[in-house]
Amino acid sequence: MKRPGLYILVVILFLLTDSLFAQENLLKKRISLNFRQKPATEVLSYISNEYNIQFMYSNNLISDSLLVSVRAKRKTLDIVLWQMFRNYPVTFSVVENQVVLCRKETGTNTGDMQKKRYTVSGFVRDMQTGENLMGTSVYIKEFQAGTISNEYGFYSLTLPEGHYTLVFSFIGFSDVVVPVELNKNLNITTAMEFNEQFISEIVVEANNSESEIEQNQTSEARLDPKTLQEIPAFLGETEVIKSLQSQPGIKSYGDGSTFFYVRGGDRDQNLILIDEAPVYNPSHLLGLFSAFVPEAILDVHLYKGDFPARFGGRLSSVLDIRTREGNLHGFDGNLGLGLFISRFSLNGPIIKDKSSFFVSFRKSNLEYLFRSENPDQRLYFFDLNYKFNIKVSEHNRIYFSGYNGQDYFRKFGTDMGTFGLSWKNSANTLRWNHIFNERLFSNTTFIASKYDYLLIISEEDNYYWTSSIGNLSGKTDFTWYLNPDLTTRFGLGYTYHSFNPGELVMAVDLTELGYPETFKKYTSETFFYYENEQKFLKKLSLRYGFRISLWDNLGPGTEYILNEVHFPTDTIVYPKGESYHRYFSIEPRACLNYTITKKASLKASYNRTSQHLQILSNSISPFTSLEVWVPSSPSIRPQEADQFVLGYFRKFSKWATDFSAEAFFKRMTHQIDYEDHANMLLNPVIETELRFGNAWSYGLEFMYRKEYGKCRGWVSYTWSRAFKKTLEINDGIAYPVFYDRPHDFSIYLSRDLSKRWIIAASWIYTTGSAISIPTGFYFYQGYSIPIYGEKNNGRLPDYHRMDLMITMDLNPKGKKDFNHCLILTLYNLYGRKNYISMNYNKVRFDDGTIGIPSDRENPYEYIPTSIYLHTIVPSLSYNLKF
Amino acid sequence: MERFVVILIILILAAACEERIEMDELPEGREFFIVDAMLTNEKKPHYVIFSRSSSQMNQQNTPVSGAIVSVYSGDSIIQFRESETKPGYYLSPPFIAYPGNIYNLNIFFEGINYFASARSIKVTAYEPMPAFIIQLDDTTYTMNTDYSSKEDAMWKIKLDWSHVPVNQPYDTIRTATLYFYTLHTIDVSQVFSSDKEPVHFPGGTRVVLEKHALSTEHAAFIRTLLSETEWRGGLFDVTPANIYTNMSEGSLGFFAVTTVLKDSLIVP
Repeated sequence: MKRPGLYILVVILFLLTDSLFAQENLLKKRISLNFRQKPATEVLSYISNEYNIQFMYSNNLISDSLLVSVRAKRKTLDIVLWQMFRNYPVTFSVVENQVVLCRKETGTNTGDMQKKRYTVSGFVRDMQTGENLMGTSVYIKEFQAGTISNEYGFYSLTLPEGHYTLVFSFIGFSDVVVPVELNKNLNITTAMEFNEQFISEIVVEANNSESEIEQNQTSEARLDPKTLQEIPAFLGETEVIKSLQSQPGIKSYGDGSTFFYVRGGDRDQNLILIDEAPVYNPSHLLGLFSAFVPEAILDVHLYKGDFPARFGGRLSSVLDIRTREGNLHGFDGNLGLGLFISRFSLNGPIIKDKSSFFVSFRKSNLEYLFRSENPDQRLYFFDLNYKFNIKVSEHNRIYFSGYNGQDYFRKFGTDMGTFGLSWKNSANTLRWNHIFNERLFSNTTFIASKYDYLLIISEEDNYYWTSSIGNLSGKTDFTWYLNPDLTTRFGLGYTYHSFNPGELVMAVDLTELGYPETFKKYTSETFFYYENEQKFLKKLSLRYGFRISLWDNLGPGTEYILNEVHFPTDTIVYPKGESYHRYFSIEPRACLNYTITKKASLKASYNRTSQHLQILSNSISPFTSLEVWVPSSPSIRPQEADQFVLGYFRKFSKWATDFSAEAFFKRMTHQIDYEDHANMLLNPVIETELRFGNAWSYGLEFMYRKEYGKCRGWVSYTWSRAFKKTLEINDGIAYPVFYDRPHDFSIYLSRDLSKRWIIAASWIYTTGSAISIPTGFYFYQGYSIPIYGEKNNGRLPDYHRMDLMITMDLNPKGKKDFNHCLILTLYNLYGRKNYISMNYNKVRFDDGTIGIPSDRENPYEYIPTSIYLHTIVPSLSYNLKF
Repeated sequence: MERFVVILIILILAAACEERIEMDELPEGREFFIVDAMLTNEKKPHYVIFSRSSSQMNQQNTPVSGAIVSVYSGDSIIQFRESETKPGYYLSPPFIAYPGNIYNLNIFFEGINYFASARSIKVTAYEPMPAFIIQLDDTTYTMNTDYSSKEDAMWKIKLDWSHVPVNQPYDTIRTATLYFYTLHTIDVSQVFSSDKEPVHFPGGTRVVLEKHALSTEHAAFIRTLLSETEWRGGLFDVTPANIYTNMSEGSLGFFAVTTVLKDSLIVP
């Protein structure tokens, strides 16, 4: 495949051409009609039926009560519409072959703020399933202001006494307009109806004040399940984490990996939460697949910086995944069959309208496919997601959710007996929503998470290597809706961590065999946060707050005192329960939003974060390996980061698109670096291998996006750099880190060809990773040994890849009780060989194979080699939704 | 069909392919002096090889002649003389490097003294030789790769079947030197390293097995050496870096002192 560019061009043109030519000028179409004092909706309906012209409008803008008069004989549509709405604040434009009617910008009416104030509050729910809708805009027409429902669908607005119109808007759902006579506190729980037409067509919500333009948030990416499922993925399996790589500022490792790097931060600086519980290793088959079942996902938020104060514990990102609650009204489910993976999900009421459940299970088919050919090995992975909830009363609701996943590989009859590998993630959450009053909402959460890693070196000899990290947490979050201009969030919590930083288990005494003993570690973290979201004047709003954390190392523990050359000079053993070391950190955070116009805003944010957990690994492999998590301790200070962001956001109504540009600078201190060839496993004094320095990154990120319509997608480009400087590494000279990839471009397009066919394609390009390339060689006892100069003085070849996905709906008319489709995915369409490493230690043997020579006496010719993982990977899968 | 499916799976999931690539010109770097020296507790002439590194792959080290090489331990100094037939190869008179003694190597060249210090530890006994040899079929043998030792150890195996008339693929070479190591560390790149070329030999092969006990420093050196050679290029690579050295003044290589236990047999 020597001309990947040609393939890319052809696919992109194919996706775009139809869309561009479809934009014929409807407004010049000539029509005839005669209406007098008739509802505008009736007139529009007449034009639509007679002349096959589609109109889109919000029903809070054009209702049945809006009466118009119009008379025309073969007049153009634009003149007719002007006549109809000349006395009303309505404007029109053509988008995607439809006429979109929007509100004209007019003056505002702020109302009387001196009157007695009351609160309207409640939940926003999906009419079909009864599930809460988080992120719904609740907008007061008269104020041109509003709020957004929280993670549990709760909203609250405190207003002066009066008559108001509440408009509930959520993407993909029909608006709900509720007139309110506010002379007492009101509880209004709203059910919104899913509108299938919405997704593939266009609705312009010009009045949605809480859109991204006015939100006090920078550095955020959001992916909804529908978009996730339309992004072409490896073997057709929807990937939460790998899908993120097309977002600006996020660098993926590449093929076969779930590692991602955000704005110059290392991979362990990403906090991955599923229903608030941390997941420490979100991968299967060493990283070929992400760990989450797509059907279980309700919403995915990624914060690349500017973390809300309720999040903490990592420097670079928070990936907040929320799972579905389960249908309160009836049962539905999903079945997916692929060559490698099968999955099933079911949800429904336990007690109708009061309690529901969601269960999904995914398992690889590898074991069955391999069994006959490889009876001496077992290989599988699975994921289990579950969630139960019950409305105890109007003010109390309880949720219990969990995620459990495991990878298992066992091979019998190796040289050492039975060899194997297994890792398990478990993340469970118990939550209690409580509404104290109309304005104060609380959520109390108990979390238990654990990640275990097991390497079976020889099952027969009872010979294992094992490591783990676990936590037990409790926290309470409060949201206090003081008024539409001020919302306060605060909370506190406690987490207990336990660590096993790698332990060798054998039937015999290890120390007798010369293996060192490693020690488990225990810590606790207590935190408190406070955050205000406040609007000033008309166009300014500010979110500001802080997070305080107190970190304690607890006994029993063994700590080593190191001298200036990192040599242990003393050992201190602490008894059980003793808090022997403490770190205190305070993290101020702020975000300022200036709304330039209703379509554009400028944002700036500052964020300080600290991190007390880290993976110790000097691996440059794309795969998860035998890595260990360790806590901050007397010899490992907490990592800290300061990030500054400046952003510009712009919406284009005509095309229903938006554009964002952000510039960032991030400075990170106490960054972990490693002594050359650091001994990371089975090292009781692992701290002796660590060096500490500073890192920094900066960059510009651009994104142009069209979320809805027949043609959807985005284009993003990032230019960024990331460096590290450690006094004792690379002679103290700053060097580009492995994931420093200055140019990063991605494009994703999805096109509804008809009701039956959808085609989606993506293309990703990034500069190659920074790696160390030898500057010379020498021979020592028959070994050819490379000599390295400056660290990361070279780069792997550039990475690029194109994926294509074609979905065929087998039931496009949707008349049955189920929908099913076939999905064909072509991963790495033009078969690009993306190298993951460059090696200089291999030889070509007489049989043509490449490998490591054994004989050190006879000379070999060493050759430079590279490893790549995939060329084109086709897959076909079947999905059934019932 | 089933076979096809399995092949497809293997292609997709385990199809990490390695191929030869064209190498760009290496970044410019400086030249280093290389020291390869090992003293043992055998009474024999010991060697020190002093050479320069190369800027190209597969290019042998450039020997450095004219250096003044000596080893001292306590009050005794042993002078090494450069071989008349092998430039850069310095030989001592026969002597024993005793376990526990500290030996200091000095290489004086162009006004700079390249220095290293090392000591050996005692070696423990190992299993009888036949346990290390595996018979593959009636006429073919290979060495066991699974060694254990209480102390860190290097296992050097010299194979010689030059005197045995054979007509097998392994006939292209008639002698081989293999190294295996017992290290009390675990590295990811070691656990998942690429397979080494198997070396097969016929009955009648003369096998000499040496077990060298490694000091902590020597074991650290070997571990880094393996990280950059035998363990590199698998799917779990670690950050590349220069290997450890105990030599001073920016020179590379290693000055080793080991105690050795040797055994030999002729494969029946």
